[in-house]
Amino acid sequence: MLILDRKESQSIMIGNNIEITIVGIRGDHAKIGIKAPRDIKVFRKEIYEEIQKSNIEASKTKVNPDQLKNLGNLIKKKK
Amino acid sequence: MKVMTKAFGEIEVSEKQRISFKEGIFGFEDISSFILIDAEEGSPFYWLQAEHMPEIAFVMINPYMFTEYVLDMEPEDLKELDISDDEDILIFCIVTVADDPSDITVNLLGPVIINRKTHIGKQIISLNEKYQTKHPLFQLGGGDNADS
Repeated sequence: MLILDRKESQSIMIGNNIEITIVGIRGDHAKIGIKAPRDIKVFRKEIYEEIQKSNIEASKTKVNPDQLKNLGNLIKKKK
Repeated sequence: MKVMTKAFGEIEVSEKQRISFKEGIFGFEDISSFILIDAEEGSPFYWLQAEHMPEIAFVMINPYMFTEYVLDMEPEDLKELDISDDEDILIFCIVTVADDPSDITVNLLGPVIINRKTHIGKQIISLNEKYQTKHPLFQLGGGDNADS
């Protein structure tokens, strides 16, 4: 991993069109500004990890068709 | 065609049920082909079954069956799914099933979007930050909604 030292309001360029700016630093929080083309998706890493974790958990649960049928009826009743 | 499933053993499915996920889904990035199966007629639940891995399958629900879901997605995702007409969009949310119904949760943050015309699917990240991966299924209905 490349590690660069940056001060508040200084930036890093990734390629020609992605700019990352340290907008502010307060204690252990860094506020980061990202300028990137529209087709580059920017998300906090926790969100990816959370969805991954949730998928893995969902894939592991045992479900029998009867259970789903009962749940389906419960939902339909509520509606 | 025949597919081995986690829920029903080997079953016959139609080619139309095969959905191609170019990037897989989160945590299962290598699985590019899933089969979409109705849990049963009239049920709000669906199965997303990995075509070549019988043990990998997800229960999904149409979120509109129990909550007023607002789909807020990146224009890039729409492009990747090749969606030109809203009518082509199918939206599902993955359910984590538990024995106690009150422990069952639904992932509203990472919905699975399917283009019903082209059979392309993708799990996206909702831009709506109020959604989480673990909304209780039975709190969402019954008057409450995902805002709380």
